[in-house]
Amino acid sequence: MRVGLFIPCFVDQLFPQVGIATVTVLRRLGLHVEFPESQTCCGQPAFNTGYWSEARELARRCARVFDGYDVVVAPSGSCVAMVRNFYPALGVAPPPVFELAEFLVRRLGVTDVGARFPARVTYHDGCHALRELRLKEEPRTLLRHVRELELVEMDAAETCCGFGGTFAVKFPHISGAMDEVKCTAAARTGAEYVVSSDSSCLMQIATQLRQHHPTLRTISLAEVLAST
Amino acid sequence: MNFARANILRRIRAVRARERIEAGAVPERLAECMFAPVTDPVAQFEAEFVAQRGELVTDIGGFLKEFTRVVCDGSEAASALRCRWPGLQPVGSMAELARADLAVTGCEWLVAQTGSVVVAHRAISVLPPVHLVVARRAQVVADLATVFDRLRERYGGRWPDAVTLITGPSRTADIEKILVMGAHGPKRLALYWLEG
Amino acid sequence: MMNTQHAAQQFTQATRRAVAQTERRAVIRRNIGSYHQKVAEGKRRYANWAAARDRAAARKQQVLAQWDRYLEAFEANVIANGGRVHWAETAEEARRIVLAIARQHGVRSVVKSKSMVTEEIHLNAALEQAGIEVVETDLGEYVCQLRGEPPFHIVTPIMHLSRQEVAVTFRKKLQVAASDRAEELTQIARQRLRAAFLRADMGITGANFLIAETGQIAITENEGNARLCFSGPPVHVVLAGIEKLLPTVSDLALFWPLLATSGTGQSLTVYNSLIAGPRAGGELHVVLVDNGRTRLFAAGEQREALRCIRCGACLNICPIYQNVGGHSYGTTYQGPVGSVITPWLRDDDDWSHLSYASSLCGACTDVCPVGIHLHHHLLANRRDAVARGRDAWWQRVLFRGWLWVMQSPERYRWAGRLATWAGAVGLRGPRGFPMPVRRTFRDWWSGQR
Repeated sequence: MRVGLFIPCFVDQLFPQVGIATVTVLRRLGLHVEFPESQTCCGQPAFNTGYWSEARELARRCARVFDGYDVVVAPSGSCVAMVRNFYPALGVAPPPVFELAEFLVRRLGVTDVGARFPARVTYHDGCHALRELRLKEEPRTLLRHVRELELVEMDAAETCCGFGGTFAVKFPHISGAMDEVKCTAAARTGAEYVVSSDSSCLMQIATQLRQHHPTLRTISLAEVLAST
Repeated sequence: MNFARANILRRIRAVRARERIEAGAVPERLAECMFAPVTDPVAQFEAEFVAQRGELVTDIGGFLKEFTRVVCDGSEAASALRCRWPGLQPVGSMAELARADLAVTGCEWLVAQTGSVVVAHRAISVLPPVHLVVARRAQVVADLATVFDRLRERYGGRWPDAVTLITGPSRTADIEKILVMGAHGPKRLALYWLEG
Repeated sequence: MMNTQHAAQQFTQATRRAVAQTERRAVIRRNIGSYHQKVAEGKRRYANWAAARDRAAARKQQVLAQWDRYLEAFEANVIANGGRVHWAETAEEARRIVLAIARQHGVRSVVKSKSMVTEEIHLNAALEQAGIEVVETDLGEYVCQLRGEPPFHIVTPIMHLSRQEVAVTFRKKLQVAASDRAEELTQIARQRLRAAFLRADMGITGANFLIAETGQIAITENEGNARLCFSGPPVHVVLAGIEKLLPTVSDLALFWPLLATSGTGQSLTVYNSLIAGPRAGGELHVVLVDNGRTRLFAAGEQREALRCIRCGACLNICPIYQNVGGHSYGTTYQGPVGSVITPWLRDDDDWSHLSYASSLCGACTDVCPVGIHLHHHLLANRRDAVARGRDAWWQRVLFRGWLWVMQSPERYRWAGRLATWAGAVGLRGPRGFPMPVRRTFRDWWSGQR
């Protein structure tokens, strides 16, 4: 199986540790992964803002970059949803992309990646992972198999954190209000970490946590799974 | 000359001529996606009717004693009751209805699955604060789909000008989602079974 | 006419005010919380909610596929039932039709039951201007009318108010000594409105469904006020959007429960009425309102939104709606469905800013009982706004530049470095979001080889 890594530009530039953790987990399972270095962005920001011809250029580019791989794995439900669900709307055939948890549980049938993470955590469902890719149980199954980890559900785990890409910039006050509701629910669980498959959600959540709930931190699913 | 009609239809047809509007296939068998099937219609009707805050009347004499200004419709069922309790006044004007404290009416059908009463009249069962339905157990049908079939059989191409499916007494939850009975219609909805 | 800047700016200002009102947001959260609980219970009664919704979507879609034919069939059947049908292309035309009917009958007093299309065409103001008394009789709408406010929500118009606020409104506007008990407030409204029903010479209602097969008008309500509107006054005028059609009366065996469950969590709303003609000695008029619906039909995939049955589920689930509330939108239809349809229904402005005011979380699409892909249509609206040149020039330039960067891994790498340096001298992303780090993933990847 030829496995390509799709590290979204966002993760590459702001949260490289998430990409590294993804590599760690996949290698631990004995997979040989490749990272085609010509990859850049999947085109989602343009697509979501209405610039579909610009997005189409990048969609074509992305499809070319990952041509020939059996699977393409990315630590982001959002970017995978863009490629799999929205490329067809742009007339571009999507490469076989998988979100990390989806790849592990659904494709490989792996639920225990041999991780250890001694903490109480709560899981935030990224909207794209949940509603575009229908991933609800997969990340939780993986977390339940992490040693010494306690998973507690928050109220409204499925409610949007308010990031929404350019939405967070165009309507910061609404985005902030949504973030506040989310983080209040997360803090009520008494967890030490908010875990999510999407670093963009975590970036949004961290903004609120820093100000109002400093004892609660964020960490990506990939990093939890990479910990031993 | 009604240009609006022509223009609206023309615009719709222009789109339909330009592109095919997909009409997806309708999945078969409505009953399989709706509420649990009905096994004992009368028992289920009674349970649902009460769950919707309806009252089942057994002591009809005692029930009627609570009221002083009682109106009734011209139904056979209400007439059957009137033979025994002559105080029932046949329906009058809106103003008269508004002064009554009980309306007694018959009904078309009763729906087991939802505890609903199907009536084919207008104001009489809305204005008085209490509505008593007089019915026979044979009027109970299983579900909504059956009601529409029966109504179609009974009225063919000529429907009554008003049919209402009543499911429990009038209510509102507009204020803070607090349930209050008797918003504009009756606070109480009661049902009495005629035997035979 | 408003210009684009205006509506968008008003939205931004209104939402800023709304999110700052933490107590108001708490009232809304409480109300919506109790709604969600009831709906969850209500859905449990269905053997297969998803299948019910697929069926509903397909039936409404069948109407759209032969929309003109269903309209004609409905019209013919209303006429056969002894009613009259009027067609209105615009809000103005719809108002004129209703006023003409009122004048013809010398109408002085009108009772109305809840109808969003009458809000859409601003009917009350037109009637009042003609010297006709109009009384809203749905409890929530009555409170709105007393307060001089538009409905906050398409199903539950005063869900933003506490009972204390309703009591204050009653004391001030009705000069009554009212406690803040919901029961007592409801009784006060009931008594006041009884008199209005008895003196009215015209009743106006909306329609939840128009039955093509029989020419019937289906009206759903819990209170009984709609029944009084079409039972008392000799003239009954129905205002309905032209998309309200269902093929057959049997379809209501699906749509009545579906509307009730999505709207309030009930299995059935208390009163579901079918009007098939005028009452004895009276008149029935049906006004079919286009007002932009055919424009939405011509739009493209967004026409799917014409399936909407106005249940309010997408508003209640929407985290934006929950935080900014119904009045911020400045539209008749709020929430996700309002953001999808308003740019097509209203030509007084662009309204595409509402399509951007969404995090695209998709919760609305999940709850829609007629399977409208609401968040995808918000994306389509954004695409169409750009295609029509409604985007800001600087944004267009920005995305052109961004594309140029992203088309080359080298330019991408350099842009990242540039941003890192900017971050090093203290620049921050919007809202304090971080700037790119010194050592990116690809740096790590090339380093470990």
